[in-house]
Amino acid sequence: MLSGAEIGTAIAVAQATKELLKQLNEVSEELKPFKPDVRSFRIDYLGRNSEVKYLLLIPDGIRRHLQRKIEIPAITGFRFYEMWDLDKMEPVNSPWAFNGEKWSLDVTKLPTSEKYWLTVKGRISKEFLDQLVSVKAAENPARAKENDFYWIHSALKNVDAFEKIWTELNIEQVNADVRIGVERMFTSAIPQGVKDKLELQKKLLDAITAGNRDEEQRLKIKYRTSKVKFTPSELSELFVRLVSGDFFADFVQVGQPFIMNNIEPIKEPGIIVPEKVKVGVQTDLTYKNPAANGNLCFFRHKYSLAVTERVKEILPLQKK
Amino acid sequence: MSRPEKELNTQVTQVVFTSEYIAPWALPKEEIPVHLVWAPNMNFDCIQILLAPEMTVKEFYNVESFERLNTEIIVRKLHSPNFFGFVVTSIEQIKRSHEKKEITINFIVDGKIQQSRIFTANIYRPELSVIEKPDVIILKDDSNLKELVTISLKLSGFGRMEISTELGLGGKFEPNVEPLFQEMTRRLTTTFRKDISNLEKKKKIEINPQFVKQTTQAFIDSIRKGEMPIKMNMSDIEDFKKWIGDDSNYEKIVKLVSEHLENILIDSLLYYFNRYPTEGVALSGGSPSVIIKSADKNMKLRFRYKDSLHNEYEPVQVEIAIKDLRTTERDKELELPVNIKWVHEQISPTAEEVKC
Repeated sequence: MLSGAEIGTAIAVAQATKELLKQLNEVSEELKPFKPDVRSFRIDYLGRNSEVKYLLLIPDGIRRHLQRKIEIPAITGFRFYEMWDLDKMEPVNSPWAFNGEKWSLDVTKLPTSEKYWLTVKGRISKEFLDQLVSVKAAENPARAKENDFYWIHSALKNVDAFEKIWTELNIEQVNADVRIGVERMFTSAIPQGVKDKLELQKKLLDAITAGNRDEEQRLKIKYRTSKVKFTPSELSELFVRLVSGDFFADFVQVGQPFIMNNIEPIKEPGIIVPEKVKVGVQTDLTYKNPAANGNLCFFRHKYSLAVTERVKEILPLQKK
Repeated sequence: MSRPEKELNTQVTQVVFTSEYIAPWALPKEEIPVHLVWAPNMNFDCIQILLAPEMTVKEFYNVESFERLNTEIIVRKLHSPNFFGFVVTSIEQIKRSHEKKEITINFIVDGKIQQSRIFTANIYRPELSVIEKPDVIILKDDSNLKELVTISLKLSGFGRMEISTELGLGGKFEPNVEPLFQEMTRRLTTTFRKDISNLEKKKKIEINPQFVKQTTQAFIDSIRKGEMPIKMNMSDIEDFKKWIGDDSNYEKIVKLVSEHLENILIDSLLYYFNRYPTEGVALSGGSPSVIIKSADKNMKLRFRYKDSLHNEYEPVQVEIAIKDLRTTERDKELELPVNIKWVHEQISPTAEEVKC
């Protein structure tokens, strides 16, 4: 049984697809006098853009006089991006006008060429993409010696609606996120002396807050004689640096057909030190290559050593 | 519908698939993608999927129509002629650390198997068990409480676990409160009546404002919901709850919490270090401590654990008898930390299949 929310989502997704197709049909319908032939349909998954390329036949003759103006309502959500004169192989200078409600093309102002290439761009929703493409990655990694592996998979889910209309479909930059847990690397890199010092600092602050002068004096002496020198914020700033994309990128590698994309820490509310790093990997899907699988490798041991090294740099006197 | 004979498939399996895949490992209920891609000219009447009874298909790729007959699925029509796939999961948790579930895919022509592929879904779970604990703890006047209780817990199976400890109190188990909030509540309840300007003005450190905002809000929400640490003075808590629940105090609340930032930062770091005591484990609430009120009662601890997908497994219980041989202050409440030794015996899915 589907829950109310699931049914709601399913309906929204179906509507999103229907809506996009309806809008594209509307555009094709308006362009009908010029025998529109869709040559490619491209979706940029990451950028959530769609791009349709039409071949139009607009001979300089009777047809231009019968159909002087093409008008397409803005409600379709598409932008009429560019138009090329294919006979002369050059772009046509801003043939489309937009008045806030409609896109219009005055065909009488076009050059005398017959073949044109029209590019139309639109935005697409996340729900729509979710319905079109599936992306999955391993929740937990397999371990081989010093490295962790995560499987990654992406596939076209439902291309029915598109295949009936277009012979070519490219969904580019299909992104899958792999979540790599790094929390233990930090915990084990921090020497006990640092943890003890934090405990001491905590007690000292408590004594100050509670106005317990004797305790405050006693702890202050202990605090000053402590060999570990650092501030808590230095430590947390270091952690943030170690999970930044710049630093982390050296410790992950992804196999074909995927390529690496953004790396960013995942921040949980209430937790100051990031526990997981999100690595985006991407690939392209087409009718011919409708599914892709690969692995992401995290050089766990190498990363752990690098973390320990950096911790030593800011805590040079970490051990007695 | 009768199942086509399996023997037929051996002679015709070497053909046509340009790509075949099943995700090589998964946790119970984790989504496992499977796909097959072939040359578009391959002919077949339907595709038969045979599943182990504990498995279910959650989603199809490129399938227009299908019939579900218990553990058998017949795919009648595809959208695009050259591929198909699905997402399969185990319906329930598994008993053993690693279980294999077979998935057979048959391409049928005239009621006979023309092509066949057998995939194996490898499902793994984490496992926690007690391997060593004292039967009895003897409390003496000079006992070193910090080293009195040590238990060994074994981590086996596969996958990270989130362990939460519960303390046995009068037959019931109570969760060990998250120390971050416990500390904050304790600190704030003792200071909220004081003039804020006197408090820790001198400390200026830079902390991510988003963190401060989130922590403050999560803390205030938890207090308002009545989630209070157990070891606190009740009258303080009641006053504090009233104060924090009063929206007209909101600015003051935020100011008070913000002024305790350095403490919060230190608390968070300590909390973090306690939360990850060993590889592959998140211990919510940090290492447990048991408060002993009256002597000669058994101490009970329960470890509940979940995997990364929040599948919860049978908890592990520990009961230790306490013998009180103290001669003085026998009524004094004692906090008895429980030390945990972690023994790692985890397994990993075979890494041969996973190359980069």
